[in-house]
Amino acid sequence: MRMIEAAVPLFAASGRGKPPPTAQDGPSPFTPTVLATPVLIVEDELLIAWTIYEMLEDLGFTDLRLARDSAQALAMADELRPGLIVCDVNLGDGPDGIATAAALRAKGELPVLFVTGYAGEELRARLAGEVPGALLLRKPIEPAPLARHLAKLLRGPALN
Amino acid sequence: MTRGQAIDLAGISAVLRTALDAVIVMDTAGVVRGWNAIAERDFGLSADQAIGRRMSELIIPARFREAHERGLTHFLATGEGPVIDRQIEIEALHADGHEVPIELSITYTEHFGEPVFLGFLRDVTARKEAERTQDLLIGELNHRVKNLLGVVSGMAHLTARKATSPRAFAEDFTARLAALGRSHELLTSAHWSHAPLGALVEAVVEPLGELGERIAVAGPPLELAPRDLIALGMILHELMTNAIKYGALADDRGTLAIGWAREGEALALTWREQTPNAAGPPATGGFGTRMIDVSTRHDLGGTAEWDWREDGLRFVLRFRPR
Repeated sequence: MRMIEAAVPLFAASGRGKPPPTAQDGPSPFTPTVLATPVLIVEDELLIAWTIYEMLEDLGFTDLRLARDSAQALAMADELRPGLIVCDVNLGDGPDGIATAAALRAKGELPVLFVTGYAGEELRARLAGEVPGALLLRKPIEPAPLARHLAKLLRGPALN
Repeated sequence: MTRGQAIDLAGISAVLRTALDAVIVMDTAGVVRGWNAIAERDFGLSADQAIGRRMSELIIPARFREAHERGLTHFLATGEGPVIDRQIEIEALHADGHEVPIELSITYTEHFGEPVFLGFLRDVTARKEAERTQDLLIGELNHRVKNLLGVVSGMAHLTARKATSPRAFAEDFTARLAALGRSHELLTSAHWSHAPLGALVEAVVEPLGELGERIAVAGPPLELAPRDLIALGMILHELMTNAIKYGALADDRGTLAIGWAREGEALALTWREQTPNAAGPPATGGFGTRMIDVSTRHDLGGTAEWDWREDGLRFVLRFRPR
């Protein structure tokens, strides 16, 4: 597992690794190859970012990074070369999540899952135009829909 | 029927003068026959300019003109008019070309000699603007509430993971929610602009009652942006919880000093616990400690320094306020 200082040192520094899978978690729906995919979470609200982080950890993902805004996400992506983006739409000041995902996409094929509290028609139209193939998940985030959306996204480019 | 001669001008003028709305009189040929002072003010035409001209050329926007003429013809032929004797909202045309939202009611009367239509028009621009502002506010509120629900849901999720029992969950979660609530309250009283750090610290100390007597607070007046304030509110809450559970405020002799100072563009907040019974660092990082570290980085873009001294914790947080 690569470590990037600017990423999430504290989740690792706390001495807490990935919890061992328990029987109640059930088997992960993802293959080991998929679970090794570097994932970049872009979310300005810490508690939401952290929740997504832990839910992905529970699903078995091992290479997770956290960015709080567009600039940090773009800087991290250069090193991380993510294979999946989980991105908030509203990132406070600066470019929003859609612009950020589109910029990350410009560097290569990349599955994107947006998470947002407000998903009107206008937003869906923008998504379809600027980040085609991206999926949208409403906040508050629950583990089961998160897993389903990721399964859909990571099944392969042919299905996106 | 002769038009223009038979109208009881004295009677109708009295109506026009006393009305608080714009009143326009139109005859059955569609020609303006009366135009009061409020109509002059609201639509930018004097009575002299308006009287004698076709109504449809004056205040009816082009897109409604055909319907207006058709409606008039239909009413005169059948006595039926969908806009007669009721109130509708529609746009009228000002002489300068801009449209004015109005409330319009039209009555048909033969009381003034010749049959005429009386149109009462109320400019509702101010009300429409208030409605727009209200829609914006409701939209903004909706965004904030949705976002807050996401944050609270994350808080519940993360607290639940570390909780040893439902009772422990309820206590920790409620306390965190209360801390978040206090920051929001503070920001609301500052109209969601910058709010004083001193008041935030006070809000964390105040609920402690007697315990507060062992806490010293010192720092210059300093105002923080909402996002910084909310993050710092949670950090202070977690620090305080730890101090009470495991730190200097866990025994009856410890003290706490909270201070802050500017260091160039940065702000340094120092949290100093002192007790003869210092416990040292926690064996494993609890949620609170991790929360403080991660929030310092993620929310504040700053650094957190933990120094577990023999006589207690010295914690320094540095960040550049927004």
